Amino acid sequence: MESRSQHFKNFTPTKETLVTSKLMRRSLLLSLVLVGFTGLVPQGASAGTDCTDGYMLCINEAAGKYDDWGRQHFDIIDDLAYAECAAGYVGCVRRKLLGF
Amino acid sequence: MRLSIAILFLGLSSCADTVDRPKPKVVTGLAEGAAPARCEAVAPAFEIPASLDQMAASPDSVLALLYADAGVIQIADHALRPVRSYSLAETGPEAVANPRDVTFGAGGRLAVLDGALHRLVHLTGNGDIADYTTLQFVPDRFARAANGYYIFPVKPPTHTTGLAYFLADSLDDPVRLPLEAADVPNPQIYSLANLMVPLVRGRELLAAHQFVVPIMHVVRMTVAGARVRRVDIPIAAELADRAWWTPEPPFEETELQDMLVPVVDMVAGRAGEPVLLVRTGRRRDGHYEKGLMRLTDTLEFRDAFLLEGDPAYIAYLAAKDVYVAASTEGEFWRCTLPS
Repeated sequence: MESRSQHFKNFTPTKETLVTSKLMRRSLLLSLVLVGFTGLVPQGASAGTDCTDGYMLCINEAAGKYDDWGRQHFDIIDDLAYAECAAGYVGCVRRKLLGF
Repeated sequence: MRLSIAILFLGLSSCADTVDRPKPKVVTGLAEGAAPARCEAVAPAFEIPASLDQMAASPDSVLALLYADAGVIQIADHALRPVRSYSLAETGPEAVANPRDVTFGAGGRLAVLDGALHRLVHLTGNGDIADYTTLQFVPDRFARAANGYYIFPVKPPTHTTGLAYFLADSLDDPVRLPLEAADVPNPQIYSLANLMVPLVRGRELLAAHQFVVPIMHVVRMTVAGARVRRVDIPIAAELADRAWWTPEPPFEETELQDMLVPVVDMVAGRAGEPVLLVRTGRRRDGHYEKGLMRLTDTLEFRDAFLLEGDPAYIAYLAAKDVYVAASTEGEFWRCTLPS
């Protein structure tokens, strides 16, 4: 299976994915600053924070891609990068909420 | 602390323009007026490989149970006896790397959504990939219609990815449907609040927000395109103050438990009426009590029935006129409701 970063590199942008909103750009850029570039990685996970920790680690991993290829193509991949991380987060939270 | 600050900034950075928060449609005394559903616990005659992530029923009343962490789809009959099991490959050309939903497609073929490889996959009887459609979004849920699939992505807070798509059998690419996403400020909660629970009912699609937003989209496909209207989902009066509520960042994950879950799951009942698995508004043993709520043809509250345990999924087996409820942890109940 291709890795997440490999998947981004293989992803062929369409006209639709090239059009990203200022909102998404702002939030992910800020997360890059806070998470990726300052090394703001949560230390350890607990049952009370594991979904959030996983999300932050995912964002951090995505941010790492911007050092080379990703930074130049940020407008193309940010929507998908966010959705990849959000998918893990909402799946984790959904499982907790539905069983409660 | 650093984590909390990061989440706070993420929340503030989203800055939603407006938040449409109409008053919810409430049912007073939902739990008090509900009779217990006639249920019996059923022990499955197969080994539970992991937490249950989805459950679907075929038209001929066979169940497909998705255990995503184990990469297993268990097919079982109405008595929870194993029919067969699919082991999904994690890597390689036959990979279904992150199965998020399962349903039965045309001709009873098993269809799976792969969230990692962004694909809708049809499996052969041997569990190999028969064919697949690549999607330009991360798919989360889907539902089979007469001539295609309604697909619901994990929705980022942008306009580039829609809330719902329709993939016709005759086409290679899904068509975006004009469903309006709920506007929720925090980007993490935004995606959560725009997770959908779909139900195809005749020529209509019902797409209910699973969390936060007590709204259901009713979609009817016409030759002129999709016609969409929004309908309030009835919720227990005790939960009214939870409607549209989200925790203020920074928040702990335990605070998310008190968000509204307007629809835990949804199926069509004996006459095609929507039957919703819901929280009744009461707590039992520290958990929210669950119930089945039936709606009328006009999507108004009809009646409700109390359930045991903490079911997270519901399926209706038409050939047996029985509902199967399942918890994430492997408990199953067979239930019947009066006409």
